[in-house]
Amino acid sequence: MPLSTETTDRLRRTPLGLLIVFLTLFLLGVALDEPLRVLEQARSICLECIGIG
Amino acid sequence: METLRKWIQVLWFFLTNGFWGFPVSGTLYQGPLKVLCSPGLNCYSCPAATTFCPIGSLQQLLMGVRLSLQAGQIYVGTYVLGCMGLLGALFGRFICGWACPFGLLQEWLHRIPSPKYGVPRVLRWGKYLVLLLMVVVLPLVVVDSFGMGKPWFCKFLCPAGTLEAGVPMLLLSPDLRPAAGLLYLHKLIVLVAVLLWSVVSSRPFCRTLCPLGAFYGLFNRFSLIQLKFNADTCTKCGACRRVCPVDIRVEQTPNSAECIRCLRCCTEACPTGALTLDIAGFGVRMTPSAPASSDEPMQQGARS
Repeated sequence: MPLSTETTDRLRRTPLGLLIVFLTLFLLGVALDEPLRVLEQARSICLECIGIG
Repeated sequence: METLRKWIQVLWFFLTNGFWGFPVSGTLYQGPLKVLCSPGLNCYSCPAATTFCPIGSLQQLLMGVRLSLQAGQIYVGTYVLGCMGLLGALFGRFICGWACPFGLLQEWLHRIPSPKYGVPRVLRWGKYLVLLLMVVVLPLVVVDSFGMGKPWFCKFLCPAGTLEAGVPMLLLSPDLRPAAGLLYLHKLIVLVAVLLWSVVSSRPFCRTLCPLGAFYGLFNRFSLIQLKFNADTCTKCGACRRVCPVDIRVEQTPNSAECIRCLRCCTEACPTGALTLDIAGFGVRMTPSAPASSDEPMQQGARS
């Protein structure tokens, strides 16, 4: 069934809304220094994660 | 276009696994690039990995969330979720088709001549269960006496981790070999099963178990990159479905959560241009170079 123009417009606006939401989360994470924690984790080998130990 | 896609997949493999000094250094890459998010499923314990795996990182943050909060640090996964969501909102599962190393491996394996089988549709729900339970709920809820959870997906399921990190690390570090026990055997069995399944079915892991694919799939209807279907020019020849590696009824659901945006339906199949790529509202029509014939064997997305 073809979508109405109103629905199509709403769908087109959705990506921008989602981008804003996730950009906010991303910036919040940066403000909370989460990238440093991620970097710390990524620099070490998680033996449990790869089935060893 | 298919050749270009293969080259871009290879390029992404090397971008996310660009540290080839590990046989000399004996350890994994530890530089600053690891603060960047890998778009596809790519284990960051792989010695060559240059970026972090979003699924691995999210689990690590969730399983340690109690300890972080107790220490006054609010590490609840907002940065990782933000990275994943931005990628999803921009590209959807385009990433699966163009930038995932484990997807590329499955595609290569599927080229091995063998009988081809479909994937039962009901199994497609498995990846959402894996995302919800093994990546979010279990690491968050099942904790030890110290309040620490486990990385359930990485530990018990992820075949990419076994292939890219488990096997190479045992080869690189003989000291680790005594620690490889039943869990390692279990992970090897999962890996071999997925690899063998990939020979006979098209991208089975992506379609049934991948939590990252499940996450990006949620965005396929809303992402900036979409497929547009024009019913007026469609002749219902079925060529699009015959080339589809994930067995989608393209004419019914061009933006299905299963679609990995390989674009073969646009560039190889549709003889009338009924399918177009839409990037942020701008239509991109791609003329098929060699339309698939109607009697071509269904080797890609063999019907389930």
